[in-house]
Amino acid sequence: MAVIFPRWTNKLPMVLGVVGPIVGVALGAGIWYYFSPNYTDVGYQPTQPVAFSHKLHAGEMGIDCRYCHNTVERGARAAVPSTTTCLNCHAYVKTESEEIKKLWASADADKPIEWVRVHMLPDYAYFDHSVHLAAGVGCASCHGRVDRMEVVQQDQPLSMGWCLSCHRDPSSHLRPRSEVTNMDYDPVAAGYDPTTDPERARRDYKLDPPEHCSGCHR
Amino acid sequence: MSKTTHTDHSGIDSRKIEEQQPTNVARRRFLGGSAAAVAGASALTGCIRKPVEHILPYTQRPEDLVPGQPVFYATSMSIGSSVQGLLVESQDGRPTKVEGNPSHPMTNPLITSGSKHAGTNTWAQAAVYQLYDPDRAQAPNRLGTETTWEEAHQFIAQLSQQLDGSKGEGAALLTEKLPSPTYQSLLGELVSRFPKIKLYEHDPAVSQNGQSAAAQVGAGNTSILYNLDQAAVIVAIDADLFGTETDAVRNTRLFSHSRRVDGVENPAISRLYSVETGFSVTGGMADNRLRLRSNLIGAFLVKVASELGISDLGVITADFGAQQATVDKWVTALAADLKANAGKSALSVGSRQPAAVHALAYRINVELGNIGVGKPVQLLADTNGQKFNDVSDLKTDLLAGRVKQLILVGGNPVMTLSGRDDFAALIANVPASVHLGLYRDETGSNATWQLPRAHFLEAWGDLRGTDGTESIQQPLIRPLYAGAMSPIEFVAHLLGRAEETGHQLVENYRRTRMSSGDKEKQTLSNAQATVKAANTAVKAATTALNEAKSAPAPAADAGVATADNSVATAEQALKTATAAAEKAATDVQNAQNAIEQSKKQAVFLFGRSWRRWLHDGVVSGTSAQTATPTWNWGGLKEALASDLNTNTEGLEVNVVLDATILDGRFCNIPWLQELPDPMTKLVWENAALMSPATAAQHNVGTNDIVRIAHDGSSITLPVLEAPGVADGAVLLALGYGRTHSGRVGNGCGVNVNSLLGADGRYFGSGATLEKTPRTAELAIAQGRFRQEPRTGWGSRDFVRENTVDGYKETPDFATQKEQHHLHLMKQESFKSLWEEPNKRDGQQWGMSIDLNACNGCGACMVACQAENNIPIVGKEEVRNGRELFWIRVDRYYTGPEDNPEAVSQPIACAQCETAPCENVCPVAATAHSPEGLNDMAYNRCIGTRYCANNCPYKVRRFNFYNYTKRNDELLGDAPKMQRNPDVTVRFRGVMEKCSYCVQRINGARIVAKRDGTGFIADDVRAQTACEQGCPANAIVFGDINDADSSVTQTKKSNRNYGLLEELNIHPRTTYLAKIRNPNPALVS
Repeated sequence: MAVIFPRWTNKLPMVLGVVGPIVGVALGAGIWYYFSPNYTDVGYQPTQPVAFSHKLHAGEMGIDCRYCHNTVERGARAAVPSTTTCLNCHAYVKTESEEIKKLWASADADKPIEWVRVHMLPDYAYFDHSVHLAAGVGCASCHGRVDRMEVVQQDQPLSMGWCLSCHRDPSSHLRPRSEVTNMDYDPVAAGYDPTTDPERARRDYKLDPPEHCSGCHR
Repeated sequence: MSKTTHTDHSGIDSRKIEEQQPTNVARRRFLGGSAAAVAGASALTGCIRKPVEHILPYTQRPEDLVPGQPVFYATSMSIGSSVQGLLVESQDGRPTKVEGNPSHPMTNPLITSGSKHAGTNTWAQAAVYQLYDPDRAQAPNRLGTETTWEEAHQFIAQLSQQLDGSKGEGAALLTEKLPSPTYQSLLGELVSRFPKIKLYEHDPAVSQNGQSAAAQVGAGNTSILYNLDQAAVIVAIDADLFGTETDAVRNTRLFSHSRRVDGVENPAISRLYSVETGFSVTGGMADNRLRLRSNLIGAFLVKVASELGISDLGVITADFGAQQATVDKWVTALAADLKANAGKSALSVGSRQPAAVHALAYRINVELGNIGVGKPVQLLADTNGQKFNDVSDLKTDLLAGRVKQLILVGGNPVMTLSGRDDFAALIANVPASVHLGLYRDETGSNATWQLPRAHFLEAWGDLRGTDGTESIQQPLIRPLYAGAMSPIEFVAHLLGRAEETGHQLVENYRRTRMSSGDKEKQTLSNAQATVKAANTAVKAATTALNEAKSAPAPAADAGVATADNSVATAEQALKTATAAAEKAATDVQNAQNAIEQSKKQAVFLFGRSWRRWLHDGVVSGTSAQTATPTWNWGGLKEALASDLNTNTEGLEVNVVLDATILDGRFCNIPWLQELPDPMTKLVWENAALMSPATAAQHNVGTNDIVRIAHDGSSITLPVLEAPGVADGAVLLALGYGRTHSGRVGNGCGVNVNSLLGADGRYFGSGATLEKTPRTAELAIAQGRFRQEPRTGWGSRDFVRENTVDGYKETPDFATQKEQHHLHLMKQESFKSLWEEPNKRDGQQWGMSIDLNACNGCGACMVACQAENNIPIVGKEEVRNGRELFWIRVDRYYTGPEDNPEAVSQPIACAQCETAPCENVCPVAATAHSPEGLNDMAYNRCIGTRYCANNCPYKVRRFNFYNYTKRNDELLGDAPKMQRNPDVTVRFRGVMEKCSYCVQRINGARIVAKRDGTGFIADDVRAQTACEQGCPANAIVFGDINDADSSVTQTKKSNRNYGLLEELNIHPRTTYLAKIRNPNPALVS
């Protein structure tokens, strides 16, 4: 009688019993991590059309975030500055640089510079910068230490779970409104307690970030 | 996760390649294929990352512009002579939503009483779609070939030269009604420049019969303004006051105001009588409604007039047939009511009725003393028009070949004039014709030249409402199709003023009008007076100087001839004259300075006023003068005798304006095509509407296709049995069956203009109806959800109504049933199976809809569609019951089937506190927010549709297909620009429903948190789109936890009831029961 199953197959159930769970767990863990925004999105650092250094401008020079992103307190978007904003200084500073010539080209042709978007939320999630700033969420809380980035990269996963973790317990992420753009400020180290902030008390401002669907999805 | 389009594209491409390539895969191709696979794999790893997006900032951002923040601009629009003041929302430069302007008295007629609500109608709401309609004319067209604007401009210049040469001989200009002062003054210039040009005006939206009647009775160049809030009795004679008639938005608002019962001791609301052939929204609102064939309506009114004591009208014999007794009863009751309310009643006749009936209405209103300032009927001088010739003269001239140049501004006369004339062929025979229109429609395609017209949201203009209020139209966007002209630019071009822009034309016109009036104008006229005085001074001084210069000469001569004293006199004279001259020179200098000064001042003042007008949307200080006509009833008897044809033989055909697309001008707007007719709920087409009795008499039924012949013309279309239509009459809506409407409107319905009388009559007797063996399948947007109201205890009163007397007797009639339930069952039985989820702290949103105010017009539906990115689904899908309206208006017939009353009830998600939809969702895609909203998370929805099955109101809508994508593929990119960026565009397979415009609530919340305490006060709260668009102010939304909010106040009414409240679902939207005020003498 011909042997249908060779002898080594006797070990198969045992091998499968051991290897199977390991592979399964590895696969699960792999998907868990590698398919999550923690892996796919954090660290995204596209090359920008103009080699603008936040490290130089915001860090070393200490220009406030709101000099360029000046709609951040009034609107949903922290608008990328127009070419003319750059030229406010660069009409006089470093005018011979190749990068600055790109700005002049843009201004002369009235063609915008096509920046590559770094922080992308899905279209069905509606985020508003102004209300987060008003609540005292610092720029650095979501964008990381932009003042140390030569080229901007994504610092946080910006996933729904990440949003909710703060919305469920915002107190440790909040700071006084005056320190919103201060990259060095650490609310925990500074011992800031939003519940006792007289400024918030004066405005009868409740800390109740939405946790329901329509808070962000419309 | 793979949101990227890379893989999709490569998939499609490779499939295509395989289809094109022979099947044997050569080695080279195989290698190529594997290389593609490698590329695909790398694309896959790449695709885990979202696709690369770019941010394109302005190179120079305009001051004060915050990207993503909407900005509102005031403008206005006209349909016929109805003007609506509008606020248009602009999202990053794209107009996306139209709202009423609370500063404009035509949209907010209660402005003087402090009202801040401005209504709109469906057409204003849909205007923003029309702007982006991809089927609009985009380039000039000459004899069917697209050409350039350079050539078009050359043509207009040539035409202008020709007109100059001929003084306008043989030229005719046919315009739509455009109540623009600038436009009308340019037409005036046209006539003075080319004196022999003939002007014509044709617009079905204007009551042309009413205008000629006014001229007959001595009230020429006046317009009627109805102050329905002042009226105790309103009689609508074949007049759809709240629908297709002039100033419907204003009428609706004032009427609903006159029907207030809350907070009024011993409510005395107005009474509306409606005598009509079809069933209009006005008829639905009527307390007493009489359905009559159109040609008997005039005879009926003569009877009423006689009963009122007007005896010199002659005898009009009419056979009312089976209705004789009803009519007699009506005549007595109506006349008695009118007499009792003399001076407090308004009688209005619809545009379809012949001029004599309009003249008679003037007579009755005058007899009753209804006309005057502060009275229900106000006559105002209409200084805004040119003298137009009768359109029938144009036909005669065209037939005789006398017209050499035909200029058509707006309108589509080929579709709206009688089809018997074959106006298309007449236009085509004119040697040179030009049509300025939004579309290359039936008229434009027969003209030599079709020029694209700029939409009102793209062009400068001005408009004058019936009440004389003038407003500036300002463009929200540059013309989408470069070169498009507005009517004023076009006429200016004809006048050889091509270089003047619309902006300059309007501004220059307004400057000439700034002569008297309010404070700013006064200052200006003072400045002008100074200029004048200075000018006179200059003149006097110059004369004095000249005199002084000429005076010494003879004096010196005399001096030589005569004695020394003469020389001395002469020297003295010379001295005086020189002094005078010096003074004059100074005066000249001063005067010139004054002129310069006042010019500067005028520019400054005008600029300031202009900016104020643009901001407010109203030109300050504009109003109309009250007209005091010298009445002349001389020809009334003869006019009645000749105009009234009371023949009741055969079927009466009635051509009517459509409630959704009017005369066909809105035919290509899918929102309006899919908007159900307020009464029949028919969508996407027209049908032969007749009463069930008439249908039975002709042995036809709904969906049977019939041939209707009248006076040598016939049309074939399906029957729709419509309760409430007068027996023996058939109603046919104008504007359908178009061939050059665009991809949306072409082929919808049947063109009925061949049944319009050659003399412009809208109805006529003696028609025949013949059944064909074919049937159609009409799409009707109501009836599927029919829940037969049972009778007795178990009945479900969706709409609750009562008479005023009944209401006074039982003020709590609306909630008696619920009270009865409470009586029957113990309170514990109402407990939910689940823990009661309704939180009651913080702000809680709720809505109240007043059925007493709602007439079912549908403005809320279109407003909702525009705000919430709701796609249309098409006729086929409406038939399948898949339309996506978040708010619908249900129409219920009550009373006997042959002569019912109608009630309209808007229904949207009621945001039930114990929502039945929520606990059947397997994925928690619909859940409650702490503010009482029933949230819908599209991304969670897996499309089980359990929620829709469990919704007692049937307000949840399912995307059976990707309708948005399908529409975009069909119509292209332009309509995408209308979308509201604050609302997600839904995909196939997800459920959607009313969200109480949560994007607006969130917007208000963000502002409140940013700038205040986070609490949204009632006066700055978000309005829902339906609330804001409602012309009747029937919908009130707000915080029901705030004791002072208007919604809390409204809900305190004893008419407040919840729909299907017995299900213990605690709906947040509740209704206010309807109160009618029928004449007791007419209640059978």
